[in-house]
Amino acid sequence: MSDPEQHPVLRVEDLTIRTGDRAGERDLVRGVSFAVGTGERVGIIGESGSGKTLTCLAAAGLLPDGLTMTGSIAVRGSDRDLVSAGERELARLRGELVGMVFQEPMTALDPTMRVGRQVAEAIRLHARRTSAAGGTRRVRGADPRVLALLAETGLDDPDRVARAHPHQLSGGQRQRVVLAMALAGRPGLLVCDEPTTALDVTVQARVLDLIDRRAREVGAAVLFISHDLAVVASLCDRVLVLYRGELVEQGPTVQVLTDPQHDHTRRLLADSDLTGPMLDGGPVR
Amino acid sequence: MAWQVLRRCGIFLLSALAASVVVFLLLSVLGDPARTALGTGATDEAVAALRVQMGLDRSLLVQYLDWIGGALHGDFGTSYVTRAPIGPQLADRLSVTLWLVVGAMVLAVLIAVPLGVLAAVKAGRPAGNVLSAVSQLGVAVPAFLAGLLLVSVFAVGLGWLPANGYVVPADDPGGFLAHMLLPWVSLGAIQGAVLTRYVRSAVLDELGKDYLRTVRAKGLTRTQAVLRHGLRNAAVPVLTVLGVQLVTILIGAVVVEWVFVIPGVGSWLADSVSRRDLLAVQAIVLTVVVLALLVSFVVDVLASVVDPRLRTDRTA
Repeated sequence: MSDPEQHPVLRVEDLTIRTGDRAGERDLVRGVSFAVGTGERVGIIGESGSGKTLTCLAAAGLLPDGLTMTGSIAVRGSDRDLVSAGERELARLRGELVGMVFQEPMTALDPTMRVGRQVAEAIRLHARRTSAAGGTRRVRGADPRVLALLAETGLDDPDRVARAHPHQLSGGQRQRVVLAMALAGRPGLLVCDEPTTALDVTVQARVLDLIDRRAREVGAAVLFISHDLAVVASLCDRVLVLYRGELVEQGPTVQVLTDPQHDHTRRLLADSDLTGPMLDGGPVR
Repeated sequence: MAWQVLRRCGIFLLSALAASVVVFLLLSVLGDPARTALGTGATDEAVAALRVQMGLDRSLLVQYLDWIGGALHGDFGTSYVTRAPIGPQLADRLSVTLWLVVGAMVLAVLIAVPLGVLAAVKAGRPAGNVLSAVSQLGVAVPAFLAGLLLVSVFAVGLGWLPANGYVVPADDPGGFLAHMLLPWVSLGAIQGAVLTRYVRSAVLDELGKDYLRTVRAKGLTRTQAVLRHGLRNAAVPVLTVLGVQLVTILIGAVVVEWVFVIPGVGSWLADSVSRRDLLAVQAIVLTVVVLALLVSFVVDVLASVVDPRLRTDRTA
C-alpha cells in the first residue's frame, strides 16, 4: 500500500459545501480534508445528515444543484480542480477517473432502455476518449465487451441480462449492472454510497465481495460510505468519521474502531453490535 | 407485446361497437326525422307515410343494423334536409379537417418539445421563466383571435398569404400550403403553447430521478443525459396529452374553420345541428368518436413501445 499522501488518487482539501438560498446559508460540510491512496479502501461513517453522501458526490463530480463548494478536490489523471470545473469538464472525468455506485439500485437504471445498451453506453463513452477503436460503432446488446463486463460482475446469464429491461431484474442484479458500468472505464477511484443498504441480507454479502474483488481487479481505490460498521471493518483499510459536516476522526480501521478518540465515534460504536473477532484480523481480504 | 396489441385491438373494437349503439340510440330518441323533414305544418298521415318510406317503422334493432351495416361501407344514407348523400361529403370534410388538425399538431410538437425541454432544464433561471411566461400567454390567447391577428397582418396587411378558403392538395399543392399555413399556425401555436407546459413538467419530473444521475456518473453531461435518456422517459405522459389534444381539436377546430372559411367537419357538424339534419349529425359524431378511440388505441400502443414496463406480459 502506497502512502496516500504521496500519490493520492483523490485529494480533498478544506472542502466546504453550503446551501445557497437567501433565507440563510448553512454549511453542510465544513473544512473536510483527506486523501485516498492508490488501491486504498477508505470508509466514511457518520450518522445520517453528517455530510457523507455530499462529500462523496462532490468527489465524483455530481454535486446536486443549489449547493456551492469551496476548497479543492483533485483527482489523479486530471489537472482540473473539481471544485471550480464546469459540467462539461466534470462529465469528461466522471466514469473515466471516478466511478460511482449508488444506494438505490431499483431506480438507478434507465427504465426504458435495455440493460445491454446502458452498459454499452458506458463502454462507448470510455472507448471514444481513450482510443478510436470501436468509438463510433453502434453497440448492441450482444456486444462481446458488454457480455464480458456483465459476466465479470458475476451475472449468471449475461446474454439474457443484456437483453432485459431493468424492471425484469432483481435489486442485486441491477446493482451488479451499475457496478459493471461504474468500472467500465477502469477508473482509479470507485465511490460507493451505501451500495448494499437497499439489498436483501443474503445478497448484501455477495455484492460486497464483488465490489471488493472487482475493485482489486481493475486497480481502483474505494471510497465507501456505510452506516454498517461491520461492513466498513471488513472492507476498509482506513476510516473517516464525519459528524455534523466535520471530519472528527480518521485513522486505520482497527485503530479507530478499537480505540475511538471522539465521542461521536464511541457513540457509533456503542450503537452498532460490532463483536471482537471481526476486528482482530484487521481488514478481511 | 403482440398479445398486448391484439388485446388493445379488441378493446378498441368493442368500445367502437358500444359507442355506435349509444350514438344511434341517443339521436333516435332525440327527434323524429320524418317530422323534421316535413316541417311542423305536415299532417300526421303524411308523417306516418314518410316514416314507412324511411324505414322508421321497423324495430330499433333492425334500424341499427341497417345503419351500421351501411356505415361500415361508408354509406350513411341521404340527408333528408339537403337531399345529398352523406358518405362522400363526410369523406371530403374529414380529409380537410385531418389535414388541418394533423398539420397543426405536428407544428405544436415541433414548438413544444424543444421549448418545453429548454424551459425545464432552465427552470428557475431567467431563460426558463421567460419561456414559461410566453407559453402561459399562448395558453391564454384563443385560437380564433390568433387567427384574426394572423389574417390581418399576413393576408390583409402584407398580402403574402390568402386570407381564407381551401384548395385540395392534389389539385394545387402550392395553393394548398399557402391556404393552410395561417390556419396551421393559429391552431398549432396555441396547442403548442399548451403542450409546452406538459413537456416542461414531464421533463422536470424526470430531472430529479436517480437514473439520470447514474447516466451522468457514466460520463454524460447534464444536457446529454436529458436528451438521450430523460426525453424518452418523459414521453409517456406527453403522448397521453397529445392524444387528448388531437381528439379535442378534431371538433374544436370549428372556430378556426370558420375564421378561415375551411370546409371541415367541425363547421359541418355545427351547420347540421342547426339544420336538425340528424342523419348527418349521427354520421359525424360516430366518425369522430371512432377516431377518438383510434387515437387512444394508438397512444396506448406507442406508450408501451416507449416504456417497456407497460408491456405486462413476461415474454417481452
